[in-house]
Amino acid sequence: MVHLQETDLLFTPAELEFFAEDEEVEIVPNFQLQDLVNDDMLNIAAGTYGPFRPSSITQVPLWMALMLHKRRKCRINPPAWMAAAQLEAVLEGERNRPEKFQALPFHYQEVAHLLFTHAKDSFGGDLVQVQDLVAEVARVRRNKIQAGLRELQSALSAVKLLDLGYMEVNQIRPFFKASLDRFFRLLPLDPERQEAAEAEPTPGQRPPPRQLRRGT
Amino acid sequence: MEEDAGGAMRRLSLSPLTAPRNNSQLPFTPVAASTERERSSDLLDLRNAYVNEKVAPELLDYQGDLVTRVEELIKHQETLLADAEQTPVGELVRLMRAQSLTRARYLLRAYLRTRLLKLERFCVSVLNDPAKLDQLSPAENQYAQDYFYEEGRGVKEAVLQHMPENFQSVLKQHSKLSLEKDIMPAPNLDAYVFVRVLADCGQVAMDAAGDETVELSEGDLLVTRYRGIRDLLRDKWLQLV
Repeated sequence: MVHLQETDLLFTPAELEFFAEDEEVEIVPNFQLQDLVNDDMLNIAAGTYGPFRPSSITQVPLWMALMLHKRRKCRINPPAWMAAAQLEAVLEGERNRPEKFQALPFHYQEVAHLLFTHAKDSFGGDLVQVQDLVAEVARVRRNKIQAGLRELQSALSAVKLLDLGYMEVNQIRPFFKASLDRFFRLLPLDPERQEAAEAEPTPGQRPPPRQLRRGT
Repeated sequence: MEEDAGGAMRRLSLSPLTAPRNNSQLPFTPVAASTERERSSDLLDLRNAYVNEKVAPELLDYQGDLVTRVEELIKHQETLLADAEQTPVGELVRLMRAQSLTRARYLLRAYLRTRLLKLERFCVSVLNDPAKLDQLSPAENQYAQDYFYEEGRGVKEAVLQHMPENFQSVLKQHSKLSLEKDIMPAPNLDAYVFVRVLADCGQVAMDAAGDETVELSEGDLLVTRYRGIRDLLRDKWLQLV
């Protein structure tokens, strides 16, 4: 008998990376599609991309950029938010404004990890600096998130999480959801609700939030 | 709701998971700010359907039209893949096409499998609810019935037939004392879920009494109880994350 486990309904970091690979990045191809009918455009399941011509910038999904890059068929332009100056400003903002998060792309950690792992040379001489900055931004944000979780004391009907990334959401999900679910069950309940709450099986032990640091 | 092609609904076919809160606020060009080129949004829709299905506590409506469209897309791309040119560039195109296909197939499988998993879990409560049963695909409907039958038989053979007379029911704790079918796992609709708001919803009541309201604006990310946003999710104002 197969039973639904709590873990079956969680996203793994690998799965979040799969989603993040749909994000678009700028590449500069060094080949030509030589498709005169379609004007060098490429029509694949994910959509129509191109034109692919040497030295002409085009937007493609990250998975495609990484695939072409691996075969030395293109150069990847790192997204604008990954410029060192930009990240320094974000880090400054994260440190100076403890009550709010800086706006970063929803998939910022996944995109950064993929580029740092598979396309190091896209950053030229800035690689180490950019890597450090992203790691530091993530660290400062993680501390803020953990401080924020301490504020969680009751079954609120809704909690807004402004400007968190998907990886960060996924990290706090088990703890956050379990706490709120538990708080809610402890509320004085009307009979109808009480029945619903009792029918629900007790959730098992949940894993602690995952650490996201991986070898880069 | 599929037919509802009004202004608000139109916007939803954009990539909601990546849409930043407010473009003008951002100090950089958003990664997903794609140009006006044509995009196959079916795959993005399927991804969202998959995430919704995985996060929602109950089994959601089967997205039949979407699945059919994606299946056709995959079939079409497979024929294109078959007649690739034998040139270096043709090889590159083949690789990109194949990779995109692999991703599409993965999404489709993940979506269908997640549904099967939940269908098995909530088998009895789905079979008991005609409205829910209506929202399954024909194959899922058949599967639910077969699963219920086989599992019931297995449990009976292994355990229940050895129990005292009144405790032999698959559906009731006690054949006589239980007034209703009371051992079926039912989804907890009050479970908290993570939600991304796709379009301004204004003030939304979070409980039946309407005492608590929350303002939901486009791009908001929040944690709330599933019951309160169930209808909004069905009408695609929201996306679970």
